[in-house]
Amino acid sequence: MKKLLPVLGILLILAAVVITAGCVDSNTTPKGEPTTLTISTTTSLYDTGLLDAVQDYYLKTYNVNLKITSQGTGKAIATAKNGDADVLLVHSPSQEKTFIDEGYGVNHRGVAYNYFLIVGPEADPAKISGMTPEEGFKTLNELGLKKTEGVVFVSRGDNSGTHSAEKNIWKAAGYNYSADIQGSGDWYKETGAGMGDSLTTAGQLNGYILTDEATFLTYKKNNPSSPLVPVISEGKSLLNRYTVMTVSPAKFPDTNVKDATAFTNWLISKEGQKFIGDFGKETYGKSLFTPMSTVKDSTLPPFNIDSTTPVTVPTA
Amino acid sequence: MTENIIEAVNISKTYGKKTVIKPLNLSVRKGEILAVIGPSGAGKSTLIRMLDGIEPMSSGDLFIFGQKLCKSSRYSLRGRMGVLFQKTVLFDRSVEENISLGLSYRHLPSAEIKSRTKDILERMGMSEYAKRSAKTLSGGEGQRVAFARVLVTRPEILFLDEPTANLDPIATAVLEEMILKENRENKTTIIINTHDQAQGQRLADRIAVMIDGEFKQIDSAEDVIYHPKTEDAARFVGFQNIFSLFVVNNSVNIGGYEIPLPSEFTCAEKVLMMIRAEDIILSKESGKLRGTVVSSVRRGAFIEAGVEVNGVMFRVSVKFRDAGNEFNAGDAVYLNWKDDAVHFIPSC
Amino acid sequence: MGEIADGFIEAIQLLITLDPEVTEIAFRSLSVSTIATLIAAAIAIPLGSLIYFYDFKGKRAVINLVQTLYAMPTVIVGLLVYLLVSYSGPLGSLRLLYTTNAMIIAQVILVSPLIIGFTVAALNSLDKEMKYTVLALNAKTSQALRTLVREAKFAILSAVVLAFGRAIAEVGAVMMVGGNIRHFTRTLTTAITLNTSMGEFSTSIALGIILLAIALIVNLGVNVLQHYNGGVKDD
Repeated sequence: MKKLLPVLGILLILAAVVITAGCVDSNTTPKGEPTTLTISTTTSLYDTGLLDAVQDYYLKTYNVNLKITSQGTGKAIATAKNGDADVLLVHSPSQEKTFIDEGYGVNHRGVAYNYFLIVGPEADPAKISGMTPEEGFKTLNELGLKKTEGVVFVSRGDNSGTHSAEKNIWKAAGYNYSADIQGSGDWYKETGAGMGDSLTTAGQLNGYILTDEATFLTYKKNNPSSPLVPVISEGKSLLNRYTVMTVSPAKFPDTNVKDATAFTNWLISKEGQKFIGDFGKETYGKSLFTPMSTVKDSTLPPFNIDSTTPVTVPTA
Repeated sequence: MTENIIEAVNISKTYGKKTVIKPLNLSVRKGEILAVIGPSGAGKSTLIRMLDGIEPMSSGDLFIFGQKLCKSSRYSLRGRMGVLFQKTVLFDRSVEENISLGLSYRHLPSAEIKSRTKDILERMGMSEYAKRSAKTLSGGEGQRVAFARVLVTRPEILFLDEPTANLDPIATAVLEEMILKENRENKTTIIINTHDQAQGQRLADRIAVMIDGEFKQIDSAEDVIYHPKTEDAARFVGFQNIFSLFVVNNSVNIGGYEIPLPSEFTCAEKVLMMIRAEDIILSKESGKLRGTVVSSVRRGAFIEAGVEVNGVMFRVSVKFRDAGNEFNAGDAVYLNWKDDAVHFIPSC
Repeated sequence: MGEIADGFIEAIQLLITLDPEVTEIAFRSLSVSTIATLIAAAIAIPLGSLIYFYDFKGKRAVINLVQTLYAMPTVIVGLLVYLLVSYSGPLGSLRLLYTTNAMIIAQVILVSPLIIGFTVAALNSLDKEMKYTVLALNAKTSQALRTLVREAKFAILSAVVLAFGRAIAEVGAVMMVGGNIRHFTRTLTTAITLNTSMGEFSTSIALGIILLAIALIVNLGVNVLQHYNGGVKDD
């Protein structure tokens, strides 16, 4: 029996762990039982830390626990289409349109924007600094196909919002993306990973990459020695627009539409817009996202999205 | 059904293509001790497992206590039987817990379990062992605990598989006494496997000789030892001299010595004549046959000699004390035996 | 190199100050994997002993299959459970996706084969005579299994501890079905993945140290158990 003591000890420790662990979640609830709102979002938004900050604030203020899962926009939309989320928060205008046209999304509102950046090695071996995004891409493709030393382009390749924006630029530059670019040579590398991971890859490879501004700033803060710097940061096609949608109760009747509506209205409210606008100022010295409310009329191009009209609870 | 407590009809066991037990019949009377003797690998252990319903039979019918052994009756029949296996298995618990295991399986009231366990420990003279871990016991002590564990369930049929194989002579004698006592006092029917024919003779009312998965003979101990019915049974019970001889004029000729056959063999063409090595007497002066010592080896208190007589080889075993150094290789000797030491069986 | 050193210093700070988020994540990992392992053990030990106990057609094939499943990729388990518990899946109405319950289900599926296989092996390494002895003492099947499992307890317990190690170190499945949601389903492994992709190496290192410490304890536990197992066998 003496031999069993250590075994019993281990079991006791495990049991104690289970009991204490059961208490952790309840520690974070200050008043009553909070309701839960499931948000499916994109990594480029999540990895900045904005949504963690929103989560803490929103629970404290409104007693709603935001359950945020982040994936590439393609997968984030698929999650919502499976009925596994209440709210979708993404940045891919064409995919958003399909989602709404197919009847999955309602209450579409603009939340914030920033710009995509084409970043690359400081030495800029392709000499694309100062070009338009389309010209820059064209040059990268031509030099890359010629196997020019140091010219590598890293793509998300994951059907995310950023990937979608990249494809749009290739298209605008006159290419057929799947035929002319994908798999065209060693110069073009698809990571299939999130924004942060893809930036790390681009840094390791000394390559060019299209990234959203916020994730890039976060990346630079954590990796001050990275060789990557913004090379092209201006151009119409670099606009990066974040919007929110409620998953339609017509498709999935038992989603949390009440909290989804309140959350959408909070995002476009003065309070929410200020929260977004202030985020990152302390850490990065500048905002990571520009609130949509700073735009005079966001329904006009290039934004094309209502960002002011409060939404009402949708019904099936 | 008859009053036989065990009635096996054509039971057999095969594993894939390998036949371990050929179809055999067996009847055991209540209160009897039956010894199954045979070389190791003959199928004795498999037979016990089949009779206890642990090993499914490949064919045949088995009736225990007059009841057919089948899936539905197996459990209740097994509850009235007990097995002491060749290999002593003790559980990693105290001696007490080991002994009471069969009783707790039967859901007996705990007071009864306690008193029965206490009684058996006392009977075995092991009371002071009760709380000890069974893993700390010696081989002999472990065997006694295993035996107590079976006896405490008060089996009506007790199977013992080579119970003394790993015991020294003293412990063997003690265990044999316990076995006889159990049979005497509780009228327990006992089937004991042993490779030791002498043990079979000491304990059993009847002996079954099992070789290569079949019974070669089931008879009284006397008959099995002195009147074997087949050549391999004879060899197993210790007949070292077995000769196949033609019958001429109702008699056989061995090395020039003529032996008349008993009347029941007169129609046979050939017989096996057999005699034990220790039943042959060597003499320098006179005897039935004259031969030459070919080999002479001392084994313990005996000398085992090979003696050639006109091209026939006899194995002879004599006490060293009687023979001294008189019979060495190359010596001429006479062979003698008592007439009733010779045993015949018809050969085909 | 400086990054790694800084990471370590920050990591130690996070550990010493018992950073609430790190603590929460570590406890969630421990509780999810402990519960999953206990459930898996409760299913797999009886199942393994039944496989050991009965001779049936295809027994060898079943054991082979179970052993193959030891190496079952965690993402496949994740995918399977995801499809099962997603709202559009057969168990969708239970609303299990992105909950610790879904993660527990995935880990139970992941480690059960390990416990089943090791239970069969542990029981097989007992004397065959032990099974006969138990049966001859008139044990019912369930009683026999209990006695035999008890005899093989050290070997089986070390399998359970190993299973816990696999469960807590696993990332693919819990990421897919748990969604790595802060305050809900974030575990040590998914948090390391996230923080690494965000470039937050110090947090990753702190979490990694905790995970390594757990692995070390698990390993010690297995060693202790195997020591007793071996000791008993030598007798």
